[in-house]
Order: sequence, then C-alpha cells, then structure tokens
Amino acid sequence: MSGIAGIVARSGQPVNEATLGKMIEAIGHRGPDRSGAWADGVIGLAHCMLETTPESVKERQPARLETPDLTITADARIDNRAELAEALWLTPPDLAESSDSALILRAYAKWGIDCPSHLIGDFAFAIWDGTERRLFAARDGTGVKPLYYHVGAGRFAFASEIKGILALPGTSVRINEDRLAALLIGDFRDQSATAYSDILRLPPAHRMTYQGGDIRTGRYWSLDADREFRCADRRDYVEGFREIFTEAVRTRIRSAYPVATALSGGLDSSSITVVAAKLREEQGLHPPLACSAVFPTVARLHPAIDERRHVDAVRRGARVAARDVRADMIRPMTDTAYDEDEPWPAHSLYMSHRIFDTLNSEGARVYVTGHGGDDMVSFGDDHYVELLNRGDWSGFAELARAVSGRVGISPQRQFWYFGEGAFTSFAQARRWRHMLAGARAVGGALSIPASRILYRTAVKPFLPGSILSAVGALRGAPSGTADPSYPLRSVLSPAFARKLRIKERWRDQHLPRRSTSRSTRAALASSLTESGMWEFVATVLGHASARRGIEQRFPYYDRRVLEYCIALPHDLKIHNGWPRSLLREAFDGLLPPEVQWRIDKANLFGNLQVQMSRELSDWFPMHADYADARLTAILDLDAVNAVASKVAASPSSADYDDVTALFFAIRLRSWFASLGDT
Amino acid sequence: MQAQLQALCSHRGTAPPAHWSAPGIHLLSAGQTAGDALSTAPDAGLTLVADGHVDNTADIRMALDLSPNATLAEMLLAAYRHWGRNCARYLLGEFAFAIVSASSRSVFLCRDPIGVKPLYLYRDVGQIVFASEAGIVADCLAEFGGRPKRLDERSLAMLLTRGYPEQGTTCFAGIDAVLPATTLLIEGERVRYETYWRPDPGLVLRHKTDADYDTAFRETFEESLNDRMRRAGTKAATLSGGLDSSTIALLAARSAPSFRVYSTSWPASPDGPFIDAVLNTGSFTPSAFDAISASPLGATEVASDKPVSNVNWYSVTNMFAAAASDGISTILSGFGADEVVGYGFERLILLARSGDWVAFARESAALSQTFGVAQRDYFRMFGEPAILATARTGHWLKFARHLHGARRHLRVSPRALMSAAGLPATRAGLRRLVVRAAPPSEVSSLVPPYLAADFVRRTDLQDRLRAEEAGYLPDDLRRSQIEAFCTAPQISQMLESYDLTAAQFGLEQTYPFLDRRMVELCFALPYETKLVDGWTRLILRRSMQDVLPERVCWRTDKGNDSMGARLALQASKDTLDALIVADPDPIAPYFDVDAVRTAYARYLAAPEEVTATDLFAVFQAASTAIWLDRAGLDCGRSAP
Repeated sequence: MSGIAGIVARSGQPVNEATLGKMIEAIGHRGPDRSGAWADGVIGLAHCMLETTPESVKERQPARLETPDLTITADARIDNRAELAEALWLTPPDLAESSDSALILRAYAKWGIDCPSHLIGDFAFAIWDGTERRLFAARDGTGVKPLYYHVGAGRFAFASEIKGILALPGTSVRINEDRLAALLIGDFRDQSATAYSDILRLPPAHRMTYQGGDIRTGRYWSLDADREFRCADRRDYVEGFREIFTEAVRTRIRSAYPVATALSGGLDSSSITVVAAKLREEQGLHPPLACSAVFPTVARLHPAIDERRHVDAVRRGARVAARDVRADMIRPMTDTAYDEDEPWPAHSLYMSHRIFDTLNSEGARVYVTGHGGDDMVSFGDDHYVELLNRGDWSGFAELARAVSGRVGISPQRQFWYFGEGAFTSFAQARRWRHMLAGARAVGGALSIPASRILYRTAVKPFLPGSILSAVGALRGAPSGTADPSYPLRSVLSPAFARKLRIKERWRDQHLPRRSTSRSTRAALASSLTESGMWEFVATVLGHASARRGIEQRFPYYDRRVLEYCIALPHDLKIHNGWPRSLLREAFDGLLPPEVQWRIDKANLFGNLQVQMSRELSDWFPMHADYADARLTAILDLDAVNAVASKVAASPSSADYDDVTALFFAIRLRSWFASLGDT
Repeated sequence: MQAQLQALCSHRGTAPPAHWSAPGIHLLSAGQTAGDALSTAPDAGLTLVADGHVDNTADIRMALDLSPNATLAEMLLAAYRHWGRNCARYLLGEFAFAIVSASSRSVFLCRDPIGVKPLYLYRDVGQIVFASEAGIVADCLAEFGGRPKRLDERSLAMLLTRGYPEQGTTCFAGIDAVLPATTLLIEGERVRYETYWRPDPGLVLRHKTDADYDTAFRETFEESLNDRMRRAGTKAATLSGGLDSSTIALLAARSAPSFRVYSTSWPASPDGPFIDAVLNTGSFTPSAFDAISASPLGATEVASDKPVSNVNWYSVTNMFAAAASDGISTILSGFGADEVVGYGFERLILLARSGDWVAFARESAALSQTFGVAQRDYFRMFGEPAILATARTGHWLKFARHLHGARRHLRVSPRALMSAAGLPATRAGLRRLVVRAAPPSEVSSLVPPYLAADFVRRTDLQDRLRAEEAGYLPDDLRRSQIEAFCTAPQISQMLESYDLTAAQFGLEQTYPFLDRRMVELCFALPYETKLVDGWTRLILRRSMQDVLPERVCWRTDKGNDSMGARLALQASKDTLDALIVADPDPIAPYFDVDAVRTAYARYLAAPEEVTATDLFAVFQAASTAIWLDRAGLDCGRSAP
C-alpha cells in the first residue's frame, strides 16, 4: 500500500518540495516504510510506501522513465503481471525485477491513456507525461484504491486521502451540504463528490487527464451486462468460478510479510480463509493468520453473535494460525472522523480496529476479507425477478417453495421480498396484462389474494402520501406510518431535510424505478457499480486499515470475479433451493459441511448494543450550548439525546437507525471541530 | 488522626491497615487484604481505596494491558483512568471503592451493581466522610466533625414495619448509603449521580430448545460460583435445605471435598430431612446450629448500625461465629435466588392478558396439584387483575371476552368479576352505582399495632406505606420487575446487614445468585422457562437435576419458619422483663408500651401459639431498646 500525492502548479510557480512534503506527511500513515518526492518545475509528485508484495520491497517511487519522459506515483497492486509482461515484451527476469509501478509506466508507454483497461488489480496512480506536459491518473474498476483531487486557482492537486489535499496551504474547506445529505441517508451514487465542495474523487473505473488547466475524466471500464456464459454442464460453471476465485485470492495473499484473513464463520470469509490456507500450504509458506472476532462476555445473552462453532469447524479443516480477537470490553463509539476523511457512522469499525491492531503487533501487513461476497456472487435474487419478468409464474412458485424448504422462509414472504418491486416496475412500464396474469397465477399458487398484490404494487406506490395516511388511519395505524420515510427522519433538523430535499432524494433512490431495459442483469450490474456502495465500503475500510499499518484486500471485488459472476445464468446461483449455491458447490471438500451448507447468518449487532450502551453517557446528552451551530443545523439534538436515553434504558431495543443517529452525531461533531471555524 | 481512624475500624480485621493522607484527606483500608485495597497513582494525583472483589480480572487486564500481579486497587484505578466514570460498567464482582483526587479535591464513589459491598456517605459543605459502615461514618463525624450522632426516626419507623429501612437510608440522620449500581462524582458543590447498571428490560433470550436455556442457566451459574470459589481464603456455605443453598453447597463440594456447610435447625424443623438429603449426597463437613440452644436476642450482642429486626438473625450470627472459629473466610449464600430466578407467575399474568384461558386453566390446575393451593387463588392473584385492567381502560369487548373465557374454563362467576370491576352486576350494585354511595375503600392499615401513635404520625409512616403499596399490575412486567429488583430494600438492606455482621467475625459473605450475569440472564429468560406444567422455578430445578437430591430438587414447600426462635426467646425472659416491663422508657417514644406489654403477656402465656405480630412486637421492642442503648446516640431522638 502506498500514499500518493502531487501538484501541478500554475505556470511560473515552481512546486515547492516542502509543500509536497506536507502533503505526504499528512498521509504518511499509508506508507511508514519510506517516502519520496520528485519535482520538476510546475509538477511535483510524492509517494510513501508500505511494503507488502515481494516486488514492493525494492520499489522506489516516484519512479521515472527517461524515454519517453514519464514519472509515476502509484498506490497499486497489479495482479496480471505475467500477462502484462507478455504484452510488454518483458522477459521473466525483467518481470521479476519490475515493480508494479514500473509495469504501469511501461503499460502507459505502450497504450497511453488506454492503459488502465489492460491492468488488473487494485490501483490509483498518476503519471506525469513530460512530453505531452500532461498529468494522467486512473483508478481501479471497483474503487479499492482511493484518489482525491482539487482544482483551484490554476493549480491541480491530488492525494490518496483528503487530508493530503487539506495539508496544501490555501485549500478551501467549504462544506458540501449535498454530500452530507447523501451520506446521512446512505446514498453513494454520486461517486465524485466529497464532503468538501472543492475536493472531488476520481470515480472507480475512471481515468483523468489534466493538461493546460483542462480536466477530462471518463470511464474506461464497465461491467458488461449483455454477456451470458453458456456451458453444457453445471459443473463447468462451478469449476470456472473456483478457478477465478482462487486466482483472486492468490494474487491478494502475495506478501513478503505475514498474511491474515478474516474468519467470521460465514460463507464468504470462510471461503477466502480455506483457499488462502490451501494456497499458502502449496507455496510452502506460513499459514495465514485467521482472525475471528469473539465476544465471550456477550454471547450468552446474544446467542446470534456466537460463531465459534463455525469458526472452529473451519480451523479444524484448514491449515491456519487461529487468532481470536476480543471485540467485547471495547468502546465502539471512538471518534475517528479525522481518519475517515468524511463523517460517516461506521459503527462496526471498532472490531476492525481491534483486528488491525492485533495484526500490526504480529507484523502482518495484509488482511484479506470477504466484503462484497453477498452481492458480487449474489444469493441468486435475480433469478426470482427474471422468472417474473419472463412470466414463468409456476417456476417462481416452485423456486419459492424449494427455497422455503431449505431456509425456512415462507414462499409468501419471498414473494413480497422479491416480487413487490418487480410488480411495481411492471405497473410503471404499464405491462398491465402481464401483471394481472402474474398476480392471478402467483397469487393462486402461493395463496396470496391477487387483489392484495395489485393494491400493493400497482395502486399504493402511486398514491400521494396524504391518501396513504388516511388509509393507514382508517386501519388504526399510528399517524405517519404509511408515509414512505427516510432514515434518521426523527433526528434530522426539519429545515435541513427540507432544504436538501432529503425525502425526495430518498424516494428517488429507493422506489422501484422504471427500468429502461428489462434485463435483470443490467440492474445487477448497475447496483454493483453505480450504487457506489462498494467503493464507499472499500474506502472506509481502506482508510481505517491504512491508519493502522494494514492493507485490507477484497477478493470479491476482483474484476475477473465480477465479470464472471455477472455473466452467469441466474438459475445457476440458486439451485435445488439453495441460495448462493455456486459458492457452496465451488468449495465442496474445502469448506466444512456445517459452514458450506449453513443458511443462517451471525448478527453482531448485539455486541454493538452492549458495548455502545456502556459509553453513551460519555457522549450524551449532547448539549446544544457547546455544539457547533453547523451541527445543530443538521441534527435536532433534543431528538438525538432522546434516542440516546432510549438506548441507554434498553440497549437491545436500539435499532440500526438509532445507532446511526448516535454515531452521526458524534462523527459530525468531531468532523466540524476538525474543520475549525472556517 | 490516623490512629483514631484505625481504632474506629479495628473490628473489621486484625491485619495492619493501609493508610494514605494528604492535607485534609485521610484514607484508610482495614481488613485482611488492606494492603491490596489501597493504591495511589502519583502521576494522576489519584488515590483509591477499595473493598471487595473483582471477578473478571482476566478480562480487565486484557482490556487495560495490566500485569497479572496488579492488586485489586491498582486494577480499579487503571480501570477508572481508562474508562472514567463508566469503569464500573465493565466490572464483575462485589465491590465498593472510592477514588480521591488530591489536586481537584474530588471524590468518585462506586458500589457494585447489586450492592453486596456497602458504602455509606455523609456530605456537607467542605466535608465528605465515607466508610463501609454507617456507624463508622457517624463516629467519625462525632469525633472529628463535632456532629453528634443522631437517630433517623423515619428509617427506624420503616425498619420496625418492614424489617428494613428504605433503600439508601440508615438509622443515623444525615448518613446515606450509596445506592447499588451507582457512581457518584463529587466535585465541590457539584454531585453527579449515575445509575450505571440495569438489566435490559427489552432483552428476551431466544433459544431453540429447553435444553439450550438450561445450559445457559447452568453455565452462567457455575461461572458465577466458580469465580467466587477462586477467591483467596477458605470457603464454606450456609445450607437451609432449600433449592438455592443446596445447589450452591453441592456444586461447591464438587471442587472442594469435605466442604464445610453451616445450617440452623431444631429437632422438629421441617428443613431437617432436606438438609440431611443434601449432606448425604455430597462430601461435606457439616456444622449445625441448634436454634433452641441460644436466644434470638443474642444477635443484638453483635454490633449493628440498626436494631435487629429479624427474629431469626441469631442463626446468622451463630453460624458466622462457628465459621470464623473454623478458619473460614468466605461464606457462600443462596440469598437472593428467589428474587433473581423468580417463580414464573408472570406467565399466568400473560396468559390471562392474552385471553388464553384454556392454558391458564390448565397451568393453574397443575400448580394447584403440585403446591396444594386452590386454583381459584391463582386466578385471583394473576387472572383477575388482567380482566379488571381491561375494564379500567375501557376495553369492554376484551372484558366481555375475558368474562366468557373465565366462566367457561375456570367456572368463575361473571357477576363477581363485574362487581369487582365496579359494574352493576346485581340490582344492589346498580343502586349503589346510581346513588354513588360506595365509600372509597379504606387503605388497610399496614402499620404494626405496637408502634407509638405519635411516632407513626411524626414519621409520616402511613403516607409512606400507602405510596409504596402495590397498585395495578404494570403493563411492562419485565421492566417493572427489574426496577423493583434493583430498588428493593429487602435486598440491599439485607446485604448491608449481612456484610456488617460478617465483618465482625472477619468473614465475607458472597452470593452466587446475586451475580450480575445471573441477574441479566434471569431477567432475559422467557417466562415459559420458569413456570411450566405446574412447576415454578423450573429452570433452576431442571438445570440442577443432576446435582440435587430428588426430594430437594422437586421440593414444593419452603422452610424459614420462626418456631425455633419462638421457643428459644423464652430463655431471655429476664432481659425481656427488664426492657419491656420494668423500664420501658427508652422505647416509649417509638412503641406503644401497653400494646407491647400485652403482646409480651400473650407470648409468655403460649409462646408456640402466639401470633407473629405479637412475637415481632416483643422481639423488636427488646432489640430496639438494646440497640438504642449501645449506639451511643446523642439524644434518644432527633427531628426527622
């Protein structure tokens, strides 16, 4: 992992190396091993290094090629090194000598601004092309590596974290209220905004050039939603997945230092751990440190938290160095807004922090986790939607019954979960006949009155809120419940919510949208990349791990895994009533059966409730007199304090929104404080 | 000053006390582990003095990076420096401690969640005195503060009525107990109280099978017991033959063969056979105190900061005395198990509320068969209130459904219920409703008839009792039970009395059922685990089946009668004559002397048959007289 930063100054104002030094110092935690800087006239690039891969040990950055005149600063791990070497005419000894940054430079020399699409791995880099007098930058497809930039007063600056840019004298810290509003309701679709008006992100899968004061950005890669694999045999799909996934893990456990994996006991992390263990064993290397958060003081009253049975099963079957990391007796509300660059209520980070600290003390630098597994490989949800789209009503009922037999969720509940949105989109598309037939057929097969389906999907979503409230009131519902609401409504200041149209924004994000195409694959592709969720998760975790000298890596974010999974036929992902069947089958023999075929999922929320309740009185009540006016403009502190007292009286009654409200109050307050009075 | 302080605390232990002082501040730790109980952090200007035990030391050390040899005081001080005021939330155990900052002259006081370890406080402008005994605080004030020791009459009145004063109060005016589960931060005039612990009323444990609940219960209990067994010193237990003490004794004996147990019995005691059954099951060294061999008034010879109100207390003092002479340092007690585990009658209330009269009838019939209590009584206690609540809140449809269900499945007359709900079920009732002639029902007198009328009046006893009187069944049973448990004087005041008595003998008593983990677990258990098929306290019985002898495990009665004391009190006739008949002046401000004398005459005539009220009148009058004489109060009484 690295921290990168750079400036393209106004002409006639050469870059000051001290300024570069300040920028890199602000993000120095990303690269404690060494740092370097290079400046030439108006351009300056800087870099700090945390060695991880074997090549990185000797790597020095910023790196230069004399002909053509190219200089690079990169935070990168390139995974298709061999493939690139072939294309770039490198001999194996040359390749062994080549660092990832050198490979990127050569790729740029060969393909120019098209080079990112040839790269596989996690990267954010900037290249100064001395011949063209142009800065070129790019970010990996899923946005694992961060890159922020700032343009103003004729200069351009970038850095791996926002604080690198803020270190630049004269950077404005105007608040981007629109972004704050988006964060408050978890809307990550705008992938270039940050909480600072004058600082932007380069979105994932984008490249950019800065030349003569002119910025151009553009997408260089997207998930191809039109492709579908067809294999003769189901086993070929499974084998293919296993191969690609293994490669994704293999490239991520490349490290000259001890390697760690997450082992929560769930399917995702267990798959990674068993594959990593097997690979390390084959390579004759130390087994991975398999880290499991444990909660011995909480598990008795919160049995859903206790994954020891599954964790132990995996540990017995795989060659790992087991590490239990105590995640109880801990304060989860720590104030880490500065680390995170933007105020965000990351309320499970406290467990990661403990793990990072443990790994750090063991000398490990790489931590491989299962984030994204749920969505990348998918439970097979699209199969339901596809069946409804196609009008295969009996197929839908059959599927729902089969799944019900495995996981015990009633077919009716499955219908509402998957079918409600689908039927609403039929209504939006005015596919009335399709809809009517479906309501009759599915309703008949699953004993749901067709009229109920039609009311809930074709009438209710289109009624104005006032009518819904009236209907609700007639039915005896408490007032206001029928109105589709947004999270944190009870604690947001009404003026702020109105000004930033939070309700409309929330509706726009969550109500089923008229789909331009009927392809569920396209919908999946867009939810994976356009929702911005995955990039955001990677950024938050990446910042937190970087702060503690660890690089977190995500095999499920691998571009090849994504491209493979999106192209699979939907019926493959859910098989014999097993959701996520592809993943289960792929690790047959590697995963212990109790993990391979588990249908439940741990719920760690209980630990958060308990731990959080112990420190509430340190933070709340938050008094308006001491609070920043900028904070009280956003949050209704009385309402927040009421939530805190409710949670203090009964921690187990705290729901996700309560916790989010409390964390937001803390993070926003400290974030505003970090801005000073500007 | 140090020497004087030391003298005041000398009865609490023979080991040399630890002392720390700064200008105007004196801290003293007496007792067997005095040295471990005081610690100073010079860099932070903090000094801590502590009493008790922390049981999750391994966890605390892990969280704080402490060395394994850190003393109790060092650990608590580190916890305070790390977690601040919230430190107690992370601690398990029985403890009380105080942290003094010499520089800011602030004091932080903390008492364990249940209140096993006492802590008393007097606070005035520029003066703070705290100690493990209310009497020590009073003595300090008298000796150094020039503040005479005075009686708190309101507390005494409550004590003579209920057996204990209200939670947090003492019989010394101006001296309060720090409440259990509470921290106080005193900075000059500013005091910050915080209740740092309550079981979560919203939490209900969900498991798939009964066995899972039993396992959770058993494991939690064993953790609690084992933590106590791990403490330094020799342990023993008291054994009454009930479920609770038998469970403790038998489980403890598994890891400590020839385990010493102390019991109180007398030849015809109903507990005898059960005690024997337990003794025959495990490996014990038993020691029995014969309740007829000594007088109940003997209890008053052990120093106390309030009059002994419990006629059976002498069995405690005698068992403690025996244990002390056997070299025991810690006694395990089953006290609190009733309140913690509960009987599960809430299940009946919930069945009634949900209108499931079929299940209510089945369950109450089964209970009736097990315990020999009429089914109708279960209905009156747990069914009827639910029905009346629907009438009170105007849910008439529900009310009607309840009437129907109760009639059909329990053969309860709707008329009776209607008139109980204040409805005109009969012609007479209708007339009463129309003329509104029904007088408001008189609050039954809860005041003992033998208290002096003026004493009752000047201590507002009637009003205070009426305010306490249970009203309607609360909607949220779990929440109200938790609140009742945590604020119940019968627990905290008893624990305070136990601690004081034990300290006189150089002992500590510990309570495996009154463990924070046990309390949290038991209040989170679904009521179906406690009352099923006619059995109350089922989870305790079921999870200890392999430990307890069958007759104890499925015992349906409860001992704890006062017949032994009743007989034994005769031995103190001379003392009683002197205090009640010859010179009743000292008690005259509090007792209706004539009433006490009449009760005493009745007692002498037929000790075995006299009412409990008469027995208490005699015993309490005598024990109060003795206490007043010993306590060295400034003048017999004070303004409340």
